[in-house]
Amino acid sequence: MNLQELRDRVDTIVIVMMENRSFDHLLGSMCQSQFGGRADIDGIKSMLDPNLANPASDGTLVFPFIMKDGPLTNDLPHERDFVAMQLAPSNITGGPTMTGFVKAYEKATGTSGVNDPPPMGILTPPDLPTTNFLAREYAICDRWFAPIPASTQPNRLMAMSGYTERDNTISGLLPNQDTLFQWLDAHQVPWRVYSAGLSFFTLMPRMWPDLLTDRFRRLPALSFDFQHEPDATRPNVIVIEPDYDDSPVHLSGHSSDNHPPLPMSFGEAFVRQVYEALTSNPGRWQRTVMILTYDEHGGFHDHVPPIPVKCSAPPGASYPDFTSTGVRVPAIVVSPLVKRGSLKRANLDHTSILALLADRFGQPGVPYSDAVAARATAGIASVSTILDSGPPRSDIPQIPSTAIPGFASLQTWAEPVNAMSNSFATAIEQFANAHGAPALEKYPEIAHWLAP
Amino acid sequence: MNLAIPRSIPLLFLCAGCPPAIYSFHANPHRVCGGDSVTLDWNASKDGKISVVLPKGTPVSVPAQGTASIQPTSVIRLHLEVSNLWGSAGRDDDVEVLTGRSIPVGQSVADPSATCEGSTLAVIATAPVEAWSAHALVGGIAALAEDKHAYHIEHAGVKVDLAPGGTSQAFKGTPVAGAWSLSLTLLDGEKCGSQTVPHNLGIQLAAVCGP
Repeated sequence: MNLQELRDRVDTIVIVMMENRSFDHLLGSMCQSQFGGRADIDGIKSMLDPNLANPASDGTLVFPFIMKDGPLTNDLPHERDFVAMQLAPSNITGGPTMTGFVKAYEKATGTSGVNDPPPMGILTPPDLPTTNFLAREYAICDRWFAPIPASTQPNRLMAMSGYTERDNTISGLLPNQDTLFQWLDAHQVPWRVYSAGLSFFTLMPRMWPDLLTDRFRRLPALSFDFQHEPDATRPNVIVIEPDYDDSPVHLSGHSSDNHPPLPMSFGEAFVRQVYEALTSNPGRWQRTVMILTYDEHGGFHDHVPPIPVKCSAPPGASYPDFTSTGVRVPAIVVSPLVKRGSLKRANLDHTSILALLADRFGQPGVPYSDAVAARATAGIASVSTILDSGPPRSDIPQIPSTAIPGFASLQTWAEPVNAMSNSFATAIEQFANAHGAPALEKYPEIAHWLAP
Repeated sequence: MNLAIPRSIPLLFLCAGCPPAIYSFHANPHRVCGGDSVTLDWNASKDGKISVVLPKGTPVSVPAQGTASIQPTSVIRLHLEVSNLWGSAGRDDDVEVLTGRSIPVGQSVADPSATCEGSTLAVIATAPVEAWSAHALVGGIAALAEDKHAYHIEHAGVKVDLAPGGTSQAFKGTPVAGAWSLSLTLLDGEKCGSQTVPHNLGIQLAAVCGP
C-alpha cells in the first residue's frame, strides 16, 4: 500500500503486544497438513528435520514436539546471555544455528534430564483457537523479529521508543525514554491505552500523569468506546495491554499476557475480547489495522536465524552493541486491509510499527526517528509496506465462540519472583507514593499490594 | 499524600518476603537399566518436597540441599517443589529405564568440536557417563529419518560408514556412554561457512541393557 492509500484508508492503528512466545512455538505447526497445511509459512514443516533439533547435555538430540497448552513448571531463560547461548552461532554456518535452546534451558533451570524440554514444544491450533482463527483469516508475518536478542524490558523499550537504554530486564523503574506517546502528542495524533490489568507504562515515571487521565482506560471500556465514541474524541492510535503476569496484582484473578509459566488460554480469551470489540463497529473496523505480536520469544525455540541489524548501546553504557535482531516472534496483521489467509515475508520488527505511525501521521518523507530510520536502512520494513492495495474487505469473519481449553490457578496477587515483577512492585509503590489518592481511586487494586 | 510502603524494607534488605528458589535438581544417571541406582541431588533456598509425578507418587519431604538414591523400574518424572507463604518454585527431571527405544544422539555444529573442511563436516557427540548407565549398551544404530547425508562414525574403537536411511549392528554391545565421532559428506550446494551446512549431525541409537 502506498503512503497516499495509507493516509486515505487507515484511521486507527491498534497495537497488541503479548509476552514471550516464539513464532515456531505458536504458529510453526500451521504448515503441517493436519494443522492447516499452510506450506507457504516458514514453520515446522517436519518434526524430524535434523536441522531443527537441539542437542541436550546428555548427548541426545531433542526434536520439536507437540505440547499441550497448560501451566509450565517454570519460566524459560530469555535474558541477553541466555539468548546468545540459544542462538549458538558457528563459523561453520557463518551465523546463528539456533541449536542452543535446550542447553540454555538446562543451565538456567539447573536440570539436565527432561525428555521433553519446554523450549522445543510447539502448540497446535486446537489449543490456540483465537490465534489460529486470526492467522487463518488475516495475514501472518513470518519474518517479524524481536528487535534485539534480549528480554522484556529492552524489547518493549525498543517497541515504544525505537531505542533502548538497557540491555537486560532489571529490577526498578524504566528509564524515562521518549515514547511513541510523546511523538504522537508532538504530531497532534490522539492516542489511548486500554489495559486488562496494570499498564506496563506504570514502570515509566514520565507516564504517571497520563495514567491518571482518561487516556488510560480499562479494557471493558474498549467495546463501548469503539462503537459509540464520536469522531471528535476518538483516538487514532490504541495500545491494548493484557494483564501482565509479572504484575503483583490481578483484578480479574489471573493474568493474560501468555508469559510462561502461564498457559495460553487466558491470553486467547483476551485477544478474542479485543477482536470482538474492534469488529463491533463495522464502519470503523474497515479503517483499522490491528497488529498482534509478542515482545520476545521467551526462551522458546525458533529455527529462523535473526537478521544482522545493529543496535548501538547508548553513550556510557557498560554493555556491547547488539549486532542482530532477536528471535522471530509471532505476528499477525488483523485488518480489512489484508487478504484472507495471506503471508507477509518482509523483514519486520517492533520498530516497524513506529515506522507505520510515521508513514500515516508524520510529515511525508520524514522518518519516525534517526534510530528507526537506521533500522529501515538495515532492512527492517514499515508495516505500511505489507498492507494490501485496493478496497478493504467487506467481510468480518466471526471468531468462534467455543470454550477455550486450558486452565490456571487464580491468583489475585503474588510476591515478586524476578526482576520484571520486582520492577512492577517498585513502580506501583512509587506511583502510589507520588500520586496518592488519585492513583488509588483509579487503580484500586494497587491497594491490595500496598496493604500491610 | 504519602503512603506507607510496608513491603519495601523486606524486599530490599531482608527479603523475608521472597518466594523460594531452586538452584539445581539433577537425577544421574537418568538413562538407566532396571535395578540401577539413580542419585538425586538438589539445591534450593529452603526445604521442599520431591515427588514422582509420572506415575503419580506420594511426595517426600526433603531438606533444602541433599542427595537421595532411588532404583526406578520404569520411566518416571520427578518433581521438586519448594514453597513458602510468598510463592513456590518447581523443577522436573526425568529418569528413563531403557527398553531398546530408539534415541537420537548427536551434536550441533556450534559445538567447539565441530570442523568443516572441504566436503567433510564433523563433530563429536558425547554421551556422558554421568547421564548414561554403565549397563546401557548399543543395540544398533540407524540414520536419522530425514538425513540425506552419508556418515562415517567412530565409537569405542569401532568404525562404520552409514548410508542415508541405513542401519548398522557394528556397535552392538558397546557402551552407549563415551564419545561418538560423527562426520558426514556435504551434499551439492552445501558449503562450509554458510547457512547451507547442516546444523546438527546425529544418528538414531537403540539403547538396551546388558549384564
